[in-house]
Amino acid sequence: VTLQIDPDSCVGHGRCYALFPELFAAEPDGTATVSCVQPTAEQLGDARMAVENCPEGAIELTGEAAA
Amino acid sequence: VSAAGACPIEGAGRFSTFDVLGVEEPFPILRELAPHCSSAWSEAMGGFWYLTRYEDILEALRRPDVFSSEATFLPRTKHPVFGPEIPIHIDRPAHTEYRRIIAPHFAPQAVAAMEAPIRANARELLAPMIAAGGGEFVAAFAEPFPAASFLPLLGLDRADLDELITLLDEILLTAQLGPSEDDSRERRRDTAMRSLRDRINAILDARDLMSDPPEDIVTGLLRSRFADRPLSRDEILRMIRLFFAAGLDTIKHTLSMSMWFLATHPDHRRQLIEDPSSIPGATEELLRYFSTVTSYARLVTRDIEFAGAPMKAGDMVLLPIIAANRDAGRFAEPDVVDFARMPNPQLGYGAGPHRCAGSHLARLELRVALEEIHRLMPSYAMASGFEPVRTGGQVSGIPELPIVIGSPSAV
Repeated sequence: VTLQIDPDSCVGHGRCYALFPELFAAEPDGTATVSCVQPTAEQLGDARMAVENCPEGAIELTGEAAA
Repeated sequence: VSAAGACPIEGAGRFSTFDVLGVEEPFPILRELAPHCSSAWSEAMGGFWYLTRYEDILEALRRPDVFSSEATFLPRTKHPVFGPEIPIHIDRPAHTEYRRIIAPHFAPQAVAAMEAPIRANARELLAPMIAAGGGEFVAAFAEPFPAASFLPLLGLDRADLDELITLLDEILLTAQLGPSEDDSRERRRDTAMRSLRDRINAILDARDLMSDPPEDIVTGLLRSRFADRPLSRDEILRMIRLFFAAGLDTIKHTLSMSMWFLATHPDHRRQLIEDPSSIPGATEELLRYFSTVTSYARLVTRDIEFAGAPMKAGDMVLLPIIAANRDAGRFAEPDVVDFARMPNPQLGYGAGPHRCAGSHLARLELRVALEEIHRLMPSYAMASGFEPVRTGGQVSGIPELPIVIGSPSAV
């Protein structure tokens, strides 16, 4: 499972790193980067919520088994 | 779903942001329309399209090539005295460069350093109201708090506070009340804008003479380069003008409406008192619910069918943030205020490339205000018999909020 941010879509709302600092970090311009590219099983719920919470749809979680 | 422009709902063709019906539901027509029409045309405010649903409003915010920020307010006006504000009225590619210059000053790391002085401002402004057992919350706190927190960014001190608040009230006359028939509001607005421009020019003149200027945003802007040249005086004036427009009234209104809600919903208030860690979520949810910036306008750059509307180049379109934030298709139980709501992709700070550049500072100010209020004066209520009203326009709130404050043990 891989967590990614599309840098072309991220405009720096900052909700991901504010809510889930173990998964994301802030750049000096306020945009976000992934600090944990491969979330653990325990972190998957947070990662999914970060995806849902981003207004820009900039966060992607790939490689999850289809539900 | 009917064809746009022929929306069958009574009143759709007369919708105006200056006709406000209630604090919680300022524009009920948007709610009535949403299930039936994704867009409609109104003859008010110079004529404009408007959208009703989250997905369409978000998409429009994220497509600046089609929806230009050259005009962001209705009715469409020239940008008096200062010219277009930077970067809110600028389109790509210049917009991207201006945002690159501004962003580091308002990034989370930069605003974190402002927390201690902002908290001191909150305590200082709350103290007299607490000592008096109450007061008018907007004049005592909601208006001066963001102004006091913002002044140091420009190298100004508290002695300038009253003067700047008076200027801002004048500048906002047309934004809140709409155009005046005899131009009187416009003249007062422009006189105040010229005074503001003189004040900012004086700050910049003084900086030019300093050998060791303070490390603040003004100095940062003076040292910044747009591509390969320094920023001009005119560009810096138009940026600082925007800081005034964007950073003060927005926080004031968000605080006034949040305070009214908390004063009248004791169970919600108790959550903040008993668990201050719920405050950041509360500020997001209160912003979603009230949508202080009720709407942004955009100028259509080319003919396009969008959200069912046959838009033409040169048309204006209103993007009602408040409709997006209350869209039942995006938010479960959108009329319920839930401080633990997750996910909460609310659009109160906008979206796309023009996302509020000051949102991290705004979140900090709102959090600190609610923390200090509920720590220092947890027992408060509306003055008896008070019925709040909400101002009109695209940025709106409760202009007066008389409260009484009890002893902390009375919660």
